[in-house]
Amino acid sequence: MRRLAERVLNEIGVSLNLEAPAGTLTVAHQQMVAIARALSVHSRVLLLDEPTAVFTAAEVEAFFRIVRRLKAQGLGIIYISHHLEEIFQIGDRITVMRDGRVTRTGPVQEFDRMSLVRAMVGRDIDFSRRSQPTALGEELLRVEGLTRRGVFQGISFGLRCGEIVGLAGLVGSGRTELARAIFGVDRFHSGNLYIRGVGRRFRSPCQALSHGLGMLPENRKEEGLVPSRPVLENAAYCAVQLQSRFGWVPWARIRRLVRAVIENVGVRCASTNLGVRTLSGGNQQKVVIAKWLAARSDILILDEPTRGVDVGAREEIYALMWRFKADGKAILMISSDLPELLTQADRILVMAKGRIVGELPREQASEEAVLGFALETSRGQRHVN
Amino acid sequence: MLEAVARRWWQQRTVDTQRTFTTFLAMLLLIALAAVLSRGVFIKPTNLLNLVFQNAILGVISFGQLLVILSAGIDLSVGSMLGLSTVLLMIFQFLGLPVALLLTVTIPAVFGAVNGYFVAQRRLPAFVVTLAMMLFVYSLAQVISGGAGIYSGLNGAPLSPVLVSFNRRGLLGVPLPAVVWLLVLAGMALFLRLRLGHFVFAVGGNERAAVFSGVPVTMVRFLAYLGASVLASVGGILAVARVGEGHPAAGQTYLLDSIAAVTIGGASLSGGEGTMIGTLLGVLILGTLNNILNLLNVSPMMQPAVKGVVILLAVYLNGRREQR
Amino acid sequence: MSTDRGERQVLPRLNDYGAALVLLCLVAYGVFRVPNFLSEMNLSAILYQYSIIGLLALGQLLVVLTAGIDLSQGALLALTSITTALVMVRHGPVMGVLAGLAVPAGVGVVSGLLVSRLRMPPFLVTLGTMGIARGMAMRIANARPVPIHNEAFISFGSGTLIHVPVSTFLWVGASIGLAFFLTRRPFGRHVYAVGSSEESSRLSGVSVASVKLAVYVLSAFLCAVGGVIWTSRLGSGSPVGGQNYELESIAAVVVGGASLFGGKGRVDGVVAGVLIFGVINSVLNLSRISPFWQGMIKGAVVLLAVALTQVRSGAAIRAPEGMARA
Repeated sequence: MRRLAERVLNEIGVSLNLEAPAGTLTVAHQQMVAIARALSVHSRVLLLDEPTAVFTAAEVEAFFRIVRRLKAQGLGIIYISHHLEEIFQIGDRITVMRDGRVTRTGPVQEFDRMSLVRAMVGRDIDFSRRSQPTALGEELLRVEGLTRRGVFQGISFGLRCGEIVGLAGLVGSGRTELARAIFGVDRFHSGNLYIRGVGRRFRSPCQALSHGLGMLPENRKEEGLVPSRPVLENAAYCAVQLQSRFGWVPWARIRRLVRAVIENVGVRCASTNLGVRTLSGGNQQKVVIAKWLAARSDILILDEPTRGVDVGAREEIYALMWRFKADGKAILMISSDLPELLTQADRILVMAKGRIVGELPREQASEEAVLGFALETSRGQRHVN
Repeated sequence: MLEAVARRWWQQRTVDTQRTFTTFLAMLLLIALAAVLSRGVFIKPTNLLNLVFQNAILGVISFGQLLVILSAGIDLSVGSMLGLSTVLLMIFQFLGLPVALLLTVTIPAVFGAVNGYFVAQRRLPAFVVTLAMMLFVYSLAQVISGGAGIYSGLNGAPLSPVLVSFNRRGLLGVPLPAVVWLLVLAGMALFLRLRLGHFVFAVGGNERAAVFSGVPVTMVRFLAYLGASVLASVGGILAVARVGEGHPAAGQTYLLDSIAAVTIGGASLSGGEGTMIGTLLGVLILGTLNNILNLLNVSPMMQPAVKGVVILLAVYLNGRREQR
Repeated sequence: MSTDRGERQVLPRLNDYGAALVLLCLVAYGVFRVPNFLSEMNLSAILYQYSIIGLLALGQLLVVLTAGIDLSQGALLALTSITTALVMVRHGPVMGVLAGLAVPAGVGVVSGLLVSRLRMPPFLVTLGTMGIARGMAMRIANARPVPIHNEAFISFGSGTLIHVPVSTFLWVGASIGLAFFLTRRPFGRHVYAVGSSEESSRLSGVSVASVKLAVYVLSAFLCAVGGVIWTSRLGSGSPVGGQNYELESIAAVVVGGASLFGGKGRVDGVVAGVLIFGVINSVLNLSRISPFWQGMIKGAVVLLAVALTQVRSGAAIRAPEGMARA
């Protein structure tokens, strides 16, 4: 068994400690193990489903080298991805699917970014649509020197009314962890958090919620929805928690509010009484968003708000964010999608290896600038430990 | 045309409602069967009312179990709690009925709180915690009662006549078991509409999502276990009222039956799914089934086997509907 | 040892060896504070009594490792007993034992199929098969015990080999065999895999259904073996015995460090768990503590052991110290 493992890992050019439990590996290494396993059974066709979702740029390069090597060995590879650049980099032939049907297929030379998106969506997307800057108000949130040992340190920034602040960084830079610490899911070990000028330390999301915070988690299904329960109920959880007095829930009022929000957000479902699991992925995302909008939080932390969402729904989510901004609320948006950050954020903070390494106002932001900050310190490495 | 309307209506109901409806149909079927077999005796009002009275104890306990199961847990100690409460009621009679009743409910509630603490706060598996509690409480009841049944209070007086006659006369002519069961039903219905009660579904359905949505998960879980114990002791009170005796083993059969009733009623053991009405129907189905077996002259030894088959059937059907 | 409130930072080693530790403490207590504890009679009595539960616990471990549970063990014990006795009357001991092994295994197949093919929850499936098995046993025996007259068979269960009860040999043999099977054979590894992550196992080509079916059949088989011994000791086939044995076996498995969520647990832990209950029993009896108190002590011990050995990683929400996810 050991020899087999060593051999396949060598084949893809990776060397790992064979005794280490799989759960302790980096995500990239876990992927390698999975690929090695596929190789160990002498597969002829390899199916990769969003394999580079959590890779750093360097890891993507290494991964592509492996893929090209496998290609040369005669393996057939089906590579599913949302990352258009990657598809152009590594693909020979592209097949586009939408709503369960193939809309277009052909050699990669026949496509460019625009036509690819058109095949996915059926219309052109205007990449130059940007959010409008709003007049800024009081500071809603401020962190100073926030530190969680081994994960992030010395984080300081502020968030004002009417702002969308983007949080950029490579995977592993600690962005989601920072968000979780602010929101009370995890703790931070030192530093201060101020909500509207008052120092706070949230021990649970329940507390954070009561102080006007909200967080759209990265993992929508597992952390955002109760699949067996109705759409209406799911969207109402935060509202119920906030608007109940002494346990008494104003159901009529809440139902009205939540139904309005659900419609606003554009959730398409046959009935709000149906279980949320009957909805499509994109609509499920919207239900989670609806939940937080219904909570009327003042500060929303969005963790990868448009990941896994089709291009059409993406625009709708941006529109909701703009409205949120215009209402004088604040958004902290974690995103790995650089174009998204560049078009939606008023300000971009860049994190690397657990620290904030750069801040770019809208006018100065560009892909090169952001990546420059993100890569400079980390030099292609990922570990914080 | 009508079929299309009906189908649309059906599809717009939640899974919970669908299941409850199906369970209701199943019960109607069973009642029909019983009616046929008994040549109409079964559906006489007196007999139907009797069905309710006989199963009130199981009904009350099953609601407690439902609460816990909705929160994705289980309470194996409800049977022992019932036994303990019967013993407590007997020995505390001499303090007067109101005080005795109070103690009978609060002492098991303390143990329920211990369950809640370990499961909700310390996050130990509910199965094991309540298993340990079951052993503990049963043993405690034995120690208090000296291992045998108790027929009279500490001062030697027989069980307060008030309680026993209450059982028959009850409130305004409605016998005690029915009154209590109705009160419990109403209480649960109210609880599930309050904030913490409503959140039980979320906590059981997807705990992580509940936490991330700001739901006070620990408190909700804790209350579920507390509630289960309280309801178990209420069941114990009814048991004493019925037979005039307190015995540590009084609740033994109710544990598995309560789980069966909740399951037949459509609740899922993984939490987040289930209704009160469903559990109510589950209890009545079990009761009707018993009746039917008697009518068919099936030996009582076969009861566990029949229950087993019914449980399997119910789970299978519930599972099928889920997959659609 | 919790460094962050809400995190279960129990020493990971405690999970594996907590049971042995508790057992050691109990034995120490027994040796020093309880008269006659260390006597040969007492020790062999413990082994004698608890080797049957020991066999059950091994089967339960297999099932629990796949994140399942087997509530039917007690009922299967009774079913074995009745089947063995009834068949033996007509066809002799060998056929009796074979039948007694085969019939419960058949029930195990049913449980296994319901869990693996129809994807029904193990708790309820085995609750159902428990009722069915119990009902069957009662029915074919007419609720009466069936006396056995075969001397050889009867002496087998109570016999000893070099002062050690025969049942203990069976238990030890089964334990060693199971430990080997779980650690060295691929199928054994698959059992752990299925319990840890069913989805990953499936996607890796493990036949999850076969694994799940197998564990229920094996559990039933081990019950049957225990049942044969038990029957021989009773000298008759009893349809009413075995009540709550499954709860004891589950308790032993959990106390031994296995997780009810699957994927975690070892044979040595389970052996320690069984012996813990055996020692508690013995200590309480020898100390002349009324049997009524035993439940309270057992309950407390189970709770303590679980608090020490269970590390809940399944639903954990808080990130452990120093680990950046993504």
